[in-house]
Amino acid sequence: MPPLGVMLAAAALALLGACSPAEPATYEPTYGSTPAAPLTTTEILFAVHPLHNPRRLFEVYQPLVDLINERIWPTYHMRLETSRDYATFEQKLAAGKFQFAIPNPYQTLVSESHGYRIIGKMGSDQRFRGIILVRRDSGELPIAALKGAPISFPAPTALAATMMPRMFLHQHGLDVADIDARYVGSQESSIMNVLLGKTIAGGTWPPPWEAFQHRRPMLARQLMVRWETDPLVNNGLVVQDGVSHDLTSKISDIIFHLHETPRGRSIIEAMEIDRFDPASAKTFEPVRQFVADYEATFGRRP
Amino acid sequence: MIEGPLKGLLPAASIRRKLVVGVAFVHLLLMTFFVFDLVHRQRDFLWDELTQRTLHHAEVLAISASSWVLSDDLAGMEEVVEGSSRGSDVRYALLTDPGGRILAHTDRDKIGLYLTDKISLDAISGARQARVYHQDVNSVHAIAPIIVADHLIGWSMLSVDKVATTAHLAYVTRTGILYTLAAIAIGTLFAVLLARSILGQLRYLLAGVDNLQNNILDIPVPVVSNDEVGRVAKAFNRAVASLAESRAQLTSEIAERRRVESSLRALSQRQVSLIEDERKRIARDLHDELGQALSGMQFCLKSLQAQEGMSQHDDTCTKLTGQVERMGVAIHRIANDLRPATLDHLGLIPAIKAFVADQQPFVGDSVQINFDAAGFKRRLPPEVEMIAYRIVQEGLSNAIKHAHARQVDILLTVNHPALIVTIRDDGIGFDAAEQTRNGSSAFAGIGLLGMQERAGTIGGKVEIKARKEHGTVLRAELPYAEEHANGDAHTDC
Repeated sequence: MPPLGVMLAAAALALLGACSPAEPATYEPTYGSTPAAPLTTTEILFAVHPLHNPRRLFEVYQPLVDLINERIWPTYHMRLETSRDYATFEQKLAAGKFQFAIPNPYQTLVSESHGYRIIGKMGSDQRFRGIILVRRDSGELPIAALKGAPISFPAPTALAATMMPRMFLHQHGLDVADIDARYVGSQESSIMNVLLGKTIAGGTWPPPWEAFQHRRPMLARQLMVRWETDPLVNNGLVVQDGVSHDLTSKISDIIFHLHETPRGRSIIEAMEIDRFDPASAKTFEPVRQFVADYEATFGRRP
Repeated sequence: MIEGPLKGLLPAASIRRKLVVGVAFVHLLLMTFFVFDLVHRQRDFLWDELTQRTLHHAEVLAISASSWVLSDDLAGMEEVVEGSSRGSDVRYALLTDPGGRILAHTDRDKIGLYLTDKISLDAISGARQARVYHQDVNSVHAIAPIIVADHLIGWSMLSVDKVATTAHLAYVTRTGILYTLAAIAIGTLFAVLLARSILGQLRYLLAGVDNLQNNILDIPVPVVSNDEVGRVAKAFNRAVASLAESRAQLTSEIAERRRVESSLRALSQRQVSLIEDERKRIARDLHDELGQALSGMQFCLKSLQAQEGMSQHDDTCTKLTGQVERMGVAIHRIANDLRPATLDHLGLIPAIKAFVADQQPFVGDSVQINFDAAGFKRRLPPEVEMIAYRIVQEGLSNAIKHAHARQVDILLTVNHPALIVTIRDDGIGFDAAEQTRNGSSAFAGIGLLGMQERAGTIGGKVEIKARKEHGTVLRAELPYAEEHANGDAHTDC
């Protein structure tokens, strides 16, 4: 073979050698029905109704869960579980998935029929009111202007953000049939629908609106609170009937004394309340009355 | 630079082969480096891109799934996992809780199970950051933490197949090799065409050089290209044309010089001949006229002395008779010097012998003169004999008068078609080179120019070799024509 051919062959082999095919071994993870390290703690679930999107809710309420975990570890481990919408939350609540939960006042009442007991409520009832947002450029919009126009609400059972604003509109002149309610799943979604002009107005309540103003001030400036409802009893704190008295006592004790320590106060400040208070079914009697009136006006939920 | 390696690869190869192999070799070398580098860069890039893509994929999956994980929404997580594996080379994607329980998996049968292998467990117990936690030749495995509010709520894990990348690399390699071969083929073809272009003109040039070597100056080299070689061919043609012109001029000048030299030689020969004739005439007249007159005077004086009554004039007559005899001898010697009659009547050898014999009384025993001759079968042409005689005459005189020689050897050798005259002495000699450098007239003094002039009249030459204190050798080569040599034969030459 001439020298040129030898060199050519050598170069080709070098090139091929540089990109030699891979060896056959390929890693695959293996799975088993039991964890590699056996669980030694009992997990308890803590849920909050979707008054924020899941991430925001986690940011606000996980510090409380962390604090509780510090006190109940290693016997128990509390995990915060969010829900993307009211319907999901209510399904889980109805299924008895959570050991502890903070439903809205209406769900608090409903939870009693699903094996939960009311042990407390959020303070700052004055903040538990509905607000109706409109675009700032729509001016002094009269309620009559909402007649037949789409209005966004988070979910049918959102007491402050849906039920109370709907009742407000009805009490101020709109017939039930004139209210074109659009349920958009979450508080933020209700706000964004107004912002984007998909709905003429949107129902929500102060904490998510303030959070929106804080996170998206440029957008928030395009909106304004046009109407506010009267306040009602704030969200409840319920515990599943099967949870031991000791655990319930320990956890409720932590929650009701949050406002007494700096760390606790920072936790409840993030929740935009001043404290948690012990409560019972009787505490929510005004809510029960409101719901009755509401259902009488708008009909029972299916 | 290439000459060295090529010299080793292609000993004694033609320019064409050197050019072709050189170009092919350069292409091979450069393209090999290029393709090798390209493949490596491509491989590094693709591996890096695949790794980054896998990592990014895992991170996106973690971010997308965070809300679903927070909500423990298995259906939502499943949607996210399926979405992440759609339309790509994802081998599997999964979500786990911090303890390794499968929350969602592209293989739904794995949901609810736990990761049990060491690699996976090490990964989920490692740092809370997105990373490639395993990589083999066929797959890349990345993991990303699902973190909300600085809390680890799970992991996304993703594996991407490398097969497509490997196949692409193989394709790049094959393409690179094909490009290399194509580059070599194109380069070689170009080199062949280039060699043909250059060497075509060079072949014509080589033919021109052959013609030049064979003194063929009237056939110009065809100029078939306008490049540097073509310009060389044009320059070669101009040089050859100039050479031809110069040669013609030189030939003409040589012919003219030869003609002039011939004329000069003829003139010189005629002059010498005239001189010799004149000397011969004078010698004859001296011998015939004055010799007769002196003989008559001597007879008259002897007659007068024999008469009676003249006794008182006897002494006077005796003195006059003696003077007349001496005058006769002198006249005979002068005549002989002018033209030795022996040369004309007996030939060269007797003439030189006589001359040597005449010189012996003057030098006595202080100088030994040896004469020898060889090769003489017949007499040589008269002019050759006369010139040889004069050279011997002059050479011997120089050896005696100037060289202060104590021995002089004269040798005449007939070596047809020339007579060689050699005169060797053991005298004081001289430095011929120095004499020449200093423009000394020593040569003239020793009559070399005269000897050369005489020899030149018949086309001969005279050389002198001398060294200081080591004697002198005079060598004359006198050519003669055969027909002249066929002249009078003489037993004594």
